[in-house]
Amino acid sequence: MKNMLVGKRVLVALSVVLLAVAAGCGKKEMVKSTDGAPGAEMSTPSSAETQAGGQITSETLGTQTAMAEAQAGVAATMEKPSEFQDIHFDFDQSFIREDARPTLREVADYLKANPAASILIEGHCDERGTAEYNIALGERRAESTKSYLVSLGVKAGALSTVSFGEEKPLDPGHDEAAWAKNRRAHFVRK
Amino acid sequence: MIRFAKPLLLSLLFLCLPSVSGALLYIDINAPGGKLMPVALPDFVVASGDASLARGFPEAIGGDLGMTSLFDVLPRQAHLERIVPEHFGGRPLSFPDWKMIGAEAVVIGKVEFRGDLMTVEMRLYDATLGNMMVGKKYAGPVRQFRKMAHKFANEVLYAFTGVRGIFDTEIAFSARPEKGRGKEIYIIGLDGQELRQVTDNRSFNLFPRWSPDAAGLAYTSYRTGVPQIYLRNLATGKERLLPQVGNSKSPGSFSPSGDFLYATLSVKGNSDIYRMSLTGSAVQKVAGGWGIEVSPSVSPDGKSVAFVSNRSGSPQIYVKEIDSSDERRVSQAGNYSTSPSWSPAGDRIAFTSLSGGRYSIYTVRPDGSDQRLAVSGSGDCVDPSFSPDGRYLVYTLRKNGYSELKIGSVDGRWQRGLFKGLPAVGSPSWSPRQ
Amino acid sequence: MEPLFRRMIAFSLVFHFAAFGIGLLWAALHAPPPRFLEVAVVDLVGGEAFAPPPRETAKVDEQPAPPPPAPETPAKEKKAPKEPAAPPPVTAKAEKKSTPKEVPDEKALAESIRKMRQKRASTEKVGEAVGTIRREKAARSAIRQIGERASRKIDLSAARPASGGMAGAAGSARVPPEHLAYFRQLDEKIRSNWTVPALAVGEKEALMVQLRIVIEKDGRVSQVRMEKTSGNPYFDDSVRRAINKASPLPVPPEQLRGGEDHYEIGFRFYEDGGAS
Repeated sequence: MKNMLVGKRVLVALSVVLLAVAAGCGKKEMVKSTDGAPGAEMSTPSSAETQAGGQITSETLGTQTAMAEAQAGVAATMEKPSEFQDIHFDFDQSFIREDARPTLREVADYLKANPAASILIEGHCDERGTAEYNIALGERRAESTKSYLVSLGVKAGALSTVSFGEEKPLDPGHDEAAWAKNRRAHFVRK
Repeated sequence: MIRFAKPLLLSLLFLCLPSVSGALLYIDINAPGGKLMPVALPDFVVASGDASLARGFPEAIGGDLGMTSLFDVLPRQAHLERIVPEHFGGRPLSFPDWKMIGAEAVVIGKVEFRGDLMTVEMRLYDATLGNMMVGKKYAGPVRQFRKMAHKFANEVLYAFTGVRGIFDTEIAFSARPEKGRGKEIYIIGLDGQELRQVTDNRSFNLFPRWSPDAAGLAYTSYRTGVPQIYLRNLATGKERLLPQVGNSKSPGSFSPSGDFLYATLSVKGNSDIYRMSLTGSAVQKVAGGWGIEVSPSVSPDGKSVAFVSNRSGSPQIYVKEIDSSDERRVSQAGNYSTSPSWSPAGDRIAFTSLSGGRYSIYTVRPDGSDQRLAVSGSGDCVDPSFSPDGRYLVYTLRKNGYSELKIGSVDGRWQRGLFKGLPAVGSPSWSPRQ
Repeated sequence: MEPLFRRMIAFSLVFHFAAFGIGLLWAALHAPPPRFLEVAVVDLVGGEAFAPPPRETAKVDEQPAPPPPAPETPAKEKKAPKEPAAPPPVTAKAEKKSTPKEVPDEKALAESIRKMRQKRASTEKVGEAVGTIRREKAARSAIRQIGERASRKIDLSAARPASGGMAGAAGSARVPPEHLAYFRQLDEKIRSNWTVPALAVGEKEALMVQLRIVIEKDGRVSQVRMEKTSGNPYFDDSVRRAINKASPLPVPPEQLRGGEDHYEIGFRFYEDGGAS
């Protein structure tokens, strides 16, 4: 009887084992939440163009400035005729070039001959670069021109400078020829 | 055999038991990237008056939300429920209808007129949880309706992200008026609407810069024949002429307190950075040298200023601690970097740089590290100005003499044209929050 | 025929052990990443030994037998519902299968297992076995109704980087394929309805929300219980919205529900800071 008991136990154990083995073996899988590559799914930027209505409501918020001012202001935007030629500069430079000297001598001679006369030197740049830097560059060109004239014997008091940066191009073109013309100092008799 | 029955039976039972795991399971879910929140913007209820407002409001709000790359405005043809006045008197929205079209958020609004005064009630509902998240009432003249819409769009953004929106801010810029040779200052809303002209002297009016309270603009004007800096109160139109130091001058940026204006002044042909007192008349040089120094842009904490200097031989961006003599160059590559704009978030400086024959906009950390391309296009992208939250840039796109203003997110995900209705637009400046 | 019988037994024994041994060997060689001990959780449910321990990180070592930290519960051999898990050991020593690195076992559980095993070893009555099973089932649903938290959590997903994140290391559990399919459906449905408001999440923040929900027979979500919030209310809201929007969820299969009208399951929502 003891044998039977043992045998029974063994059978039980074995059958359980078998069952478990049968049920248990299987490929283990994992549930993963798919990791969408965060960068990859970005929606492409949609550029919806919005046009301004074109309605410029000219509400000047407040008092107008004086008429006199307006005239000088408008005048500033005009290209003033000059009996002197413009002198030109290299890109991003303010040094006086060789080809500028003849004109500068002319200006100097005129001023020395007319001590009461005074001249406004306008400094200009071409349209490349950015506006604020170009104001400073134009200023330098005007000042550099003034220094040269002073070195030629002109009285500093007869010369004033103003920079227009890239705001007042002589040639509205967009090529090197136009740009070269626009990098200039312009002389205006005051 | 019976002896075997028991264990066999056991085994069978074993088989019969449901293989339910009483275990606690947690499923990990990783956030999907790049998904937009669907929002529905049905027509507003307009009791009387301008019927176009029924669409005007939702379109303005939708245009704002579209900027964020967070929202997806559902087409109105998909809307199942029509909004009626009763929805503002206690009737709940039919949330299943909105859920069915996939909306997670719904904005409804009602417009009423009492004489000239318009009152607008706007509500934001969370369509999935079925509750009202925000409700606001605005009153004002009808021509301010966009401003109201922008303000509510700010509320919607805040409700979902905790981030304050900038939809009611504006851009100042200069452009050539239709008749004339000079330039005037204009202001326009972010949505490209509500263009207004600020100056009208037919001279050159350039470089508008906002005061920190958004109440005024500093700008350069040639109205007297020579450049001067003026400070204009936008509400009253009153102007003030700043000390006429130097020859050329242009405003850079205000100090955060509004007590100072950092400007470029050129004395004897030499442009340097100056700080001009707005409460007194003191003018003090802050940065300079024998070279060209221009375009100051102050950090939001007021302690540092970024500017351009060509002391190294070409224009580059430098940063100076204002109360010390520490200066460092922050623009890295290229040989022409100008127009710095310090982000109001403090973390980056945007600027224009010439590279590969074209001007593009880069950003860099104030310590000079991590210079990155932010905007480039089929022309020159120049003169960036940051939005008050530091997330967007407005800039000028130039191409063969043609120019237009554009705005885009700093990360490049979104952009749109802002204005191209006038020639020679440029020098844009983004207002602070009002 | 005693001697013959004895021989038969002996031969059968040898054969069975050989087969078992081969099976073990084969599984050990081919077994991919280690598994979880959900079986242990099942035992946990069994009444008196239940005690909700705090963390799942304590290693268990209640087996006198050597290596793997937690033994596949031998208890399972008689009672446990059929988990397609590791083949339960016949005896205390024979069961060392590959074990998971992360062992969500605690000492209390270990104790209980040992006690139970001992208890079972001494009983062989079918009736008692059935009774225990019934009690376990009742206890399980009781627990679910009370909403008490059990000690062990099973991650069906790939491991989170918490432990250095080798994919299989912490994450896998032996789950029947049809259950996995359901979990994947849940995951997909909720994830596809989840919009994270990117601006609300800082660039370097890694956020996590942990919650449990109860899904009714018809897929309706009848309960949402937040267990861990992320600390970012906008992120938390987005998670709530995701579940609401995804509801009704796929109907939980009968097998998972185990005869109940509802099914409870947990989620961990992650936002990877700096992932964009």
